[in-house]
Amino acid sequence: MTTYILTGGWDHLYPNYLENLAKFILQQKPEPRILQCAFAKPENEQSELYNIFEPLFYQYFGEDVEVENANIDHYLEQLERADVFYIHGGELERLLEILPDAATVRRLFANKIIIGSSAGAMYLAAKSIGYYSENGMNDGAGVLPVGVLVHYGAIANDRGITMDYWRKSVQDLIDVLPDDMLVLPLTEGSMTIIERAD
Amino acid sequence: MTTYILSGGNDSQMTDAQVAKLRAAILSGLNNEPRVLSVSFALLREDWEWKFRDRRTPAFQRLFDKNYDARLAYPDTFREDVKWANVIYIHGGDDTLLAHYLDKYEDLKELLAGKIVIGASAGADYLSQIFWTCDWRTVMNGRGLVKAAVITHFDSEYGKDDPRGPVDWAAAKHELAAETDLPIYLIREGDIEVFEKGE
Repeated sequence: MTTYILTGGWDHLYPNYLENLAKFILQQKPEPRILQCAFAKPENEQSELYNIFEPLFYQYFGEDVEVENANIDHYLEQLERADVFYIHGGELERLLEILPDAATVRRLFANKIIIGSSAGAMYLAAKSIGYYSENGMNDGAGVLPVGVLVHYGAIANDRGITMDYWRKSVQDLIDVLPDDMLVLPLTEGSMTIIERAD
Repeated sequence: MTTYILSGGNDSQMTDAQVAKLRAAILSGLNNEPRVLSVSFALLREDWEWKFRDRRTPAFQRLFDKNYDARLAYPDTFREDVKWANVIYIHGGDDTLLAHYLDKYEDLKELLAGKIVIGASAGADYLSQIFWTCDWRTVMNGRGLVKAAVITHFDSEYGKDDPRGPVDWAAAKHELAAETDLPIYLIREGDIEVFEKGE
């Protein structure tokens, strides 16, 4: 069984989310090895993101957690050792370019806990709509048979991101996805836990 | 568009943050004040009215302050009750009892179209395609309005004093996975999952 956790983004701003995440993961894996992946960010911004999250992982998971930062040249070996793979947000296109196709990824992820935040969730989903309206609808890797809206409900009036934008985006996703595929509006700080047979 | 909100149960113990999330999920889909239909069919008949007064009404007030209307659903007026409401709140209880009442409505999906439909615990089970129930401790089929497999109360102490012993959540996951290829949504008490569906 593989556990997927989807969340809306800006995770470091939601202590409640981090607390719940740690509680859930520690129940499944008492001393987890976390591999955090910032491949969605440009290379010169990855270490900044790693430095934000590393102390948060120790704070919420305790001292017994092992945290490793994914390196683009070695991440497959790193992933083999990890219990938890945390895919941070950024640009979806970068994730699609760097990470393998869905079938390969499902094998690599087997029996692990995979977290997709913002663009990370968009990568795992079949289709998605994000916070940046100009990007429109996106294809993900389709690891999970769902459509997602990340940062759902976040408002930026100056850019036309209103509740009407989100409601229309939900309808847009419903219109293109098959009937049996669910549309999940992922708010920031929320946690959707999905279990899949490997 | 119909919004289905599945709740992990034990709603009365929701934290302020969880209530705020549920409030946002409901209000973002409404243009008018909430008109809530409280569906207690999963409970013993003798518990409907007092629970509506003592448990549901304070919970609705916590959710919406004074800006809502609510009524209790009855089997003989259920169609009219649903038409009146824009929020249908199917509370928890016994899975088979709930199915006994709601299975009679063959056109339930159409009846609920365009509404915000909340299912808590047994209510969530009923709306799902397939579920593992911690009362019966087995896999059962839901009504399939949400094409998902669910386990509510996940990782909680639900039934901790049960003579059958505590729930083995890991075994529950495997039992459910053995019966379905659908993604399994693990919903913890107080948490909600929101699903948007076309009509």
